[in-house]
Amino acid sequence: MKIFSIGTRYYCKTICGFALPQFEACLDEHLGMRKGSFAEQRTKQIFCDLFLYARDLRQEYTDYYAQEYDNFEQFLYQKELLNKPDIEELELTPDQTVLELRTDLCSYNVKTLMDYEESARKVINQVIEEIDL
Amino acid sequence: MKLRQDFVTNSSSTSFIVSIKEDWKEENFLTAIGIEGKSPMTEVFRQLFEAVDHNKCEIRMALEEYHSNCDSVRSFLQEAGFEEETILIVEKMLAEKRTVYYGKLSSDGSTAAEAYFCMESFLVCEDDIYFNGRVGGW
Repeated sequence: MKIFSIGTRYYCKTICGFALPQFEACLDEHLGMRKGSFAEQRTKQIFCDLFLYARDLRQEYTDYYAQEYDNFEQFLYQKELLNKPDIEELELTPDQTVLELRTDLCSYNVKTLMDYEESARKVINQVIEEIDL
Repeated sequence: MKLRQDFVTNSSSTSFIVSIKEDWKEENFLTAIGIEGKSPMTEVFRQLFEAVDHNKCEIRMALEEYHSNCDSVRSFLQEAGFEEETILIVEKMLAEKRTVYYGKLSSDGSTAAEAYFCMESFLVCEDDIYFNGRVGGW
């Protein structure tokens, strides 16, 4: 599981069928923070804001565009306008999807955290890579 | 020093009040806000501590630091926009001889954590820590 940016947008590569409640349950086991504490609440809020309105692009492809585009990668290239080198770099397997993270729909501030400096993105990725969905 | 290579924008700031029961140091602050084990996210809260530590001053000194015309902590906090409930809590902590700090976080601070928490509204009111960041420029 990994968050990456293409242009001004953020995406996350993860397993198909990603569900926020399942992710949150996994997060609980990895945080190392006191239950109900300020740090735990704030951390969970950050990840909730990142994923709450995420678009599952493979699901969308399967539901609506499978007849129109030969495969998921073609859909990402032609419909979602991702560049071919970026798509190839993802090395997607059939059981993986790409989530488009739409943080602006719930919190402009989490985008501030992601945009401000690379170290913040790195920290968030370290957490989700540990969870490894 | 942080260099920006994008647009220069107006920055804003959020006032905070903080007091912890134990001696003021990073380890005690992190424990008080709930950091117990190792997590990459600890770095975010370490940056928050650094920003708070760098920008705080003892609340009675804040009257002078911020060139306030107020002659009391009460009137200073009223002017800063804090609610009566907050002022009563601060007065109680001062009466209990706890060190209470006041400061400001900036939206173009030196770390992502400072910018993030500057734009968030938060209140931590526990035995070990009082941390109020409810008054902001947002």
